[in-house]
Amino acid sequence: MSDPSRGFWIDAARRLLRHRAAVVAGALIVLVTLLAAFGPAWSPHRFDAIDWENMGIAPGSTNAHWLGTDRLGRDLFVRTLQGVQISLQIGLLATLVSLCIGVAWGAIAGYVGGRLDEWMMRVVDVLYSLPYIFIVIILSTLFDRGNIQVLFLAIGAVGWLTMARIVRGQALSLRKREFIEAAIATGVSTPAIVWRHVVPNVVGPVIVYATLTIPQMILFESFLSFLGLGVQEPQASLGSLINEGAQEMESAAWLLLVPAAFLVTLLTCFNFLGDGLRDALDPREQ
Amino acid sequence: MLEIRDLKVWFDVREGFAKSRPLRAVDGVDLELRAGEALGIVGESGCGKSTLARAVLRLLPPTAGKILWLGRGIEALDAAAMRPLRRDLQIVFQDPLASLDPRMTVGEIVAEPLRVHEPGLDRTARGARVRAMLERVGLSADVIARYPHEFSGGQCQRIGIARAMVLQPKLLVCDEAVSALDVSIQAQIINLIADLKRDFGTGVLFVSHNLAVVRRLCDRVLVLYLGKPMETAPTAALFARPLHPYTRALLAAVPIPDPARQPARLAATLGGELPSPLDPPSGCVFRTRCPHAAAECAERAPDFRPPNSTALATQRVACHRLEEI
Repeated sequence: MSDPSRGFWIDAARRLLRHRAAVVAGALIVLVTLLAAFGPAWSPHRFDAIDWENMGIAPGSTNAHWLGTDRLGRDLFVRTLQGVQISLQIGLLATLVSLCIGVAWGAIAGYVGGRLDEWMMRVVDVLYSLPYIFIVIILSTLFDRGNIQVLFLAIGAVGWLTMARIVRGQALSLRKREFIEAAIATGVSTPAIVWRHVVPNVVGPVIVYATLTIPQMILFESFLSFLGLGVQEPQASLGSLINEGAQEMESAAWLLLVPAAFLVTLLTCFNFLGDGLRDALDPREQ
Repeated sequence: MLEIRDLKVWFDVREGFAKSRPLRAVDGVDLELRAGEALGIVGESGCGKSTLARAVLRLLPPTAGKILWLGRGIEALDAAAMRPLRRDLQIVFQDPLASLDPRMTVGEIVAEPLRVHEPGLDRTARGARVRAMLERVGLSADVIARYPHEFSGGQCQRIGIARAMVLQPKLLVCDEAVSALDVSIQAQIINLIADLKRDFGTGVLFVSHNLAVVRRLCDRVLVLYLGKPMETAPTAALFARPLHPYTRALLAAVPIPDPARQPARLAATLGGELPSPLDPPSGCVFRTRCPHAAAECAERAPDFRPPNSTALATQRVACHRLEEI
């Protein structure tokens, strides 16, 4: 009883801090996020302002634009930060939506079990078999094209399926545990058991999977923007910047390389962080 | 207070494509528990004692029979109708750590029954009740902010008991509540349960394979074998003059310092293995291991009855040859 630890979360945090790659990745994510959040406001340039004197300038050739400008004379550094901002927003938003639906769906199906479980998981199976990309393309034509947040709410609402399966599996095994039986014996209602006992106990795998979903969603947004279905001009996301850059990569490679470097860094960091969290939260490691 | 009549709990067991067969975990048990009384339920592993305990609390659905709680049949109530009754029906489990939610603090765990059954209580009043209960079970009140995995088995069981007793229930079911603990801790926990029973007037249904523990705590004992009652008697009478051959064998096996050797010695006393509850012997289920078995025992199950001698009227025994042996 001399152990001053305050339980699972402190231990998990300690384990995470020992995971050097995850700590570096987490710090980088925080840094890039802060940069993306405040950088564009502090910069003398606006993401859609045209500098008529400096069009298509390479990085380093002028002090006014650190990372150069695009063909229209817009500052690439600010545009990239703006792109990171939108990509992160979309990644988080879509992940949050899939998290809420997936956890609720999986926890109820897994805990209640029986016919309800059958029925709920068949719905998931059917949705799984629908071609994801077509649905998103159809959605993106239905919604106002500029309204990317609404689109990604919709993507999140389709992307919860794997989360639901993970949580259901966890809930199924929790159902047999004695502390759940104790709660039933005490007279705790089923919704309260799901909310107070099942959900907190599946949170470990859920956090890990969510961390790994964010880069997926960012990548997916980049893919859509690359196809021209995502963010519309003059707004930029990492995907649309890479798309523009790719068209000019022979003459102005920095237009491709700068946003690509940010994207790769961000995705790598999220994957490392997810990895570290999995190690820290996996109950078998305790 | 609690009365059980001819309770049966069967499970369907399916082996491959074979037709499902009933596993008769509990097969016709009668018992009665008065307010403030402690009834021990003893028997070997697999005799249905834990199933019986869970069925009484409706954690398992009974197949047949009646469960009367304060005169009201509760065997067919649905989960919602059971919920208000659970205030007075609490349970302590065998594995102390597994029965506590690892993501809740001790304070939250003990407060949960109060949240459910006394929702009107404000935070401070609830906190005070929780602290008082924790102190009552021998823990200091400052454990409320800590997590179950920080405590030893005995302390976890105290937390489990605090959770079960915080509403001052009328019935406490202990399902092998001390079996997972060290022997020295067992005594402390038994004394704690005995104190709480006396102070709160709680009836206790104490399921155990450990006769010494039952003797210390219980007023009466029910001996189960293959889901059927063999003998019931006041504790003193049962230990002084066991009437059923199975009870005698159990008692012969008891005073061994090393519990690990107990099953071996019991088998030596009785001879043979416990038959499968999927395929129980005809007539008296105990006859395959009984030294006194006769032809009659294979034909017909014995009644569960008081012996003919009036001196033994407090006991009830299921044996054809009771008067001869």
